[in-house]
Amino acid sequence: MALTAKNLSFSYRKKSPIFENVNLNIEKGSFTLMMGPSGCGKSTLFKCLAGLFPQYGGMVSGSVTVDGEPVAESAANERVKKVSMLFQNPKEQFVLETVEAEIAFALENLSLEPAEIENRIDKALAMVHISEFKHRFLGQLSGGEMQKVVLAEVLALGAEYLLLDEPFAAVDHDSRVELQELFLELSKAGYAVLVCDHDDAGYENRITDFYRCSKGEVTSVESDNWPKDLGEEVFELAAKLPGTGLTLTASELALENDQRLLLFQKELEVNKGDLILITGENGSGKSTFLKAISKLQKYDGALHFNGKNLSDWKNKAYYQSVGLVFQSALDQFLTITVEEELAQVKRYAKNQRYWTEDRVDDALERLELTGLSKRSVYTLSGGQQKKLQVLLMLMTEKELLLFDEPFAGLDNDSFQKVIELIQESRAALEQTMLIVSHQIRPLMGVVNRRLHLQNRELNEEVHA
Amino acid sequence: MNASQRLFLALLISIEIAVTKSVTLNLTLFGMFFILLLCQRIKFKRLGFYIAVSILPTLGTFWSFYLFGIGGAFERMHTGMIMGSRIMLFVFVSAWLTNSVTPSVLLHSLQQNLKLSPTFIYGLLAALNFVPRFKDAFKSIQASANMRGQSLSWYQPTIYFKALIQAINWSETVAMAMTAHGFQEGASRSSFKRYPYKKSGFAVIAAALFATVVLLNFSQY
Repeated sequence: MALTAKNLSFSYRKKSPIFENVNLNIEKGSFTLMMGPSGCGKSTLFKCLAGLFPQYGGMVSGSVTVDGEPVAESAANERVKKVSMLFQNPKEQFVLETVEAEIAFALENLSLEPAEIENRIDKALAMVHISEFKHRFLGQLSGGEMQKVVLAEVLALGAEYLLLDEPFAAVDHDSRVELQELFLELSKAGYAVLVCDHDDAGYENRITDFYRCSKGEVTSVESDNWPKDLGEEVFELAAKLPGTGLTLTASELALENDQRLLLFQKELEVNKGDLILITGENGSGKSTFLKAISKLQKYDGALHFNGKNLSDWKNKAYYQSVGLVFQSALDQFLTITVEEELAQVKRYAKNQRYWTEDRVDDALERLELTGLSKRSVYTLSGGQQKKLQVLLMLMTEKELLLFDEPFAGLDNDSFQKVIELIQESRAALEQTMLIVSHQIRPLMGVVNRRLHLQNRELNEEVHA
Repeated sequence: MNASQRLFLALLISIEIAVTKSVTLNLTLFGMFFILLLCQRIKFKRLGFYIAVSILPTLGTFWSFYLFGIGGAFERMHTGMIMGSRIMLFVFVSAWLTNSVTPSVLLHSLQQNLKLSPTFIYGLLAALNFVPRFKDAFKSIQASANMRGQSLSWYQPTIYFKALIQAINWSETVAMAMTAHGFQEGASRSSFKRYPYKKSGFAVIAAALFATVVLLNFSQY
């Protein structure tokens, strides 16, 4: 009784294979972690295991069976009773408007009676601790909250093999620990959990198997090399860059979403040259705060940039100095190919001081994006899209740059390289930066301030 | 009346007024649907919007037929009033329907009552749910372009091209997500919420049509 892949290979037409001869055996009761660099084919592998490929394109050879039955040959409504998948981008997996309607849609596919559907919805929401979300509109949820809804949907279907493609990319620390504990409970209850993640924190003493995916190959890792508990570390702050004056101020700032008050900030000052990390629970209003600074969200109170009220700034002039790295990379792209995206920035950026042709080429090489210039940005992996997006926005050389989860979907190596580029650009251009991220540890010693959003207020976290 | 029956009533009344020539019937029905809209407790601003939308085509149609129609002044006045009141009535019948049912309930109801294909219905629902996302995407593209030094106005094709690419990309991932959540084309499905026909609904439709026929027989104008 297992989900088994034998000599599994996948390629798009006439192109070199994404992965080759993969052999996997995921047994019930196991909790398996898979790690690997961005673009190594993890998401594609998961879609093959879930039976979505070759139905949705590509060429698959080898076999995937669940409890001895070929996955791709069974009907979708039969298959999901055994194996189900949670996608990387939560925004892209909903058909209907509300949480209840969305989960009901999945259960209707199993031809269940209304009473049973109701029962399963309540149970699944309670398992993920989001019972209060039942009647909420999906469009009003944060990325992490959406991910929890999809998890509830997958659990409601009753699948025994759960394939989770980076479920924590936009999930806060507490929810991450809570969900990891839930996965452990599920595996102990007889479910098979296969999760792919870029961050190994929290898996120690929980997982039963560990695989690494690299250069189209998937290999099992010996238990001696499994993630180890590094213990609680004290978050250290970096020194502030020399710089004077204020860039951004907020007073009596109130932000609402879905008629809920998210933030009321009596006062906040951001100094020139600050590199600030903003943390907080899912749905607490971090992204909404960045959107307000970007003039993309209504607010009450006052926000001033360089001493001038935001409402007095003309959009064109404002966006010459302020930029937002969107949570979803696809929202940032304006053209089709990688090459066209880079050319667009070069064409429109005025008087680039730092990002010369050589520096851009060097950054592309460091981010392992060379050789992808002709590729459509839509066919890049989630991690590659993120790296390109950050590079494009750094190239615009903004005075104030806001990052909304810029490290989501990045492996450790890419994460470090992106941080290096951010630091180099900031040092050269004396930029001010605000970063919203759930991944905190790698930013230790990098940021000079940390603001934590709790109880509807951004509080300065002071560390020794 | 369930949502499908409301749609049938709206369609039948629309067809009836399109093939009859009674100002009395049109005005009576207009008065009735106006009162029904008031009973739905819609905001006065919305009511004002319906009037604003319908007033110009109503007056324009009336004047066209009155000034350029065939026959004497009385006949032209009659034709003008029929044509003008039809437009006003079409708007208010549609307003009554759209205010009493949501698109999602209407589509689910039609799927269950008329046994329409779920693929067709979920395709429409996904498209409807994409409308707010399309608006957001439009806003994001404009902001993203601004932040990258390029001004994109609403009349420039680039913005629609980009939004279209996002829509195509999104439609593929949604289809995949639907399959991942067990949707199988042609397979039987159950319904969490049911929208059965109501006997009282058919009685209301029959009574309304009967009343209009009686009114047509007795009205002079």
